Amino acid sequence: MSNKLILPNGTSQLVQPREERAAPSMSSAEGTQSSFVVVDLADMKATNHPTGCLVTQSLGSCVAVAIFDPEARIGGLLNYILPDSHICRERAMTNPFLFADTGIPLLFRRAYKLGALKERIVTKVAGAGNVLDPKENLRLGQQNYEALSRIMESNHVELKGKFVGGFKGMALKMYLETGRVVVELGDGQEVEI
Amino acid sequence: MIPLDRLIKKVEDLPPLPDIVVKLLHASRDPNVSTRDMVELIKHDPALTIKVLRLCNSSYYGLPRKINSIQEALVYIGTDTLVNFVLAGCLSSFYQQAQDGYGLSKGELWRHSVGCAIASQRIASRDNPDVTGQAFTAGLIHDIGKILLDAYVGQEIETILRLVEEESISFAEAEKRVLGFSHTEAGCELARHWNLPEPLIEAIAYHQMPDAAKLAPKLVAQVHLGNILCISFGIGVGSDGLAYTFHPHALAAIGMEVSDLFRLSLDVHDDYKKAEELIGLAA
Repeated sequence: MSNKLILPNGTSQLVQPREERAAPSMSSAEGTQSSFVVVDLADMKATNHPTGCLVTQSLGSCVAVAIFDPEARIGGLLNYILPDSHICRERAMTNPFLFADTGIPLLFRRAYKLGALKERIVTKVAGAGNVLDPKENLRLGQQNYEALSRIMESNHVELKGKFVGGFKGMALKMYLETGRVVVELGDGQEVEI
Repeated sequence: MIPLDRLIKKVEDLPPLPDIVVKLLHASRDPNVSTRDMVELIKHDPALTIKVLRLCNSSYYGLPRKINSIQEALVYIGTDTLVNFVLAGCLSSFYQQAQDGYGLSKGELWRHSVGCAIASQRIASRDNPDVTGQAFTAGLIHDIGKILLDAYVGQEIETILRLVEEESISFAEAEKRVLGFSHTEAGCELARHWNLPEPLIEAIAYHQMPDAAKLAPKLVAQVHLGNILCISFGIGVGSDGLAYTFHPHALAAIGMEVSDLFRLSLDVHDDYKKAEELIGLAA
């Protein structure tokens, strides 16, 4: 059935549960609580300020797309909720970050505007979980991920890391100093993708 | 396994739902109770009155002028919404603790409950925009059983999650197999103890198996779908994650299709964003 966890391309690494990890050093920009910026549902943030961290809350069936240009140190994070803007064009006009097909192009365009280059950008994704759906009527997470795959494929963008599907709650963090992307699972474990 | 008498003891040990809430919930369904009777019930409780007025004057409702009395509030927001404000004001204290057993930090269960209330109401409004208050109420209270089972779930979480993974069953089914009760059944016990109206008890009991509803199948379907939407948005999702079963019959029960649900989810997203202030105020 569709709820099996799709593991990231064999590149993931299970790291310590969050409560066992050493507190981050205040002198490091990576991970200080005060520098966490939350990217809400149906929102996007892109920055060329290479400190702090962009984070999502629990993703459910939504998808977080994290992009990073390691040379220019430009990062962006999109958190979209639905695959296709065709269901409501008006909404896509007022908030393109609701949908994969309108949000993803805009995420990349914002990064380019800040100086990122397509050939240098590293793209990683998480989320797209599914509720148990034996007859596969809903498949929202799956549809969200398929929409992303289509867009990436047609634009020749390779996913360097992913942690998608399954039934576990997860949130994504991207550290803007290094581009490191960590997925925090509902049970407290963290996976670097 | 939790012995039944221990669960009942736990139900009895919880602070009772204030009398006024139970009275209002029943009164709001009674055609013989007038608006004036409702005002009389609330106005003698100053703390509650203040809380309700703060909610009324929040930007969520965007009322054209400041509301200074319960009477005025009733004119603007109506009986159902007023009852929901009162219920939200009372329930928020139950929900504010962290539910560590479910991996929910402080306030997360409250966010999930308000999210489900908003989503259920939106779904109900598609059927009949004038009768949505009960869907909100039912959404607000659907997971009340998690408060009772939290400590037990915490002790058995690894076993429960292993069952979910290995047998592809829902978290509630795994709870029942491991603990003897699911949080929906525990919530049902609590709702009976609090003497809540029967449709609300049914919504708590069957929101995860809407086909079993007899008395209020539409209400149960609305809460089932509201809960599924909320979980899909990751609102107040803990270690149980998305391990809940979607029942397509719930859509048929209220004449909807999946595409309608996706379209409605855009409104739910907007409503939830507007309600962030409301969530804080009721706390």
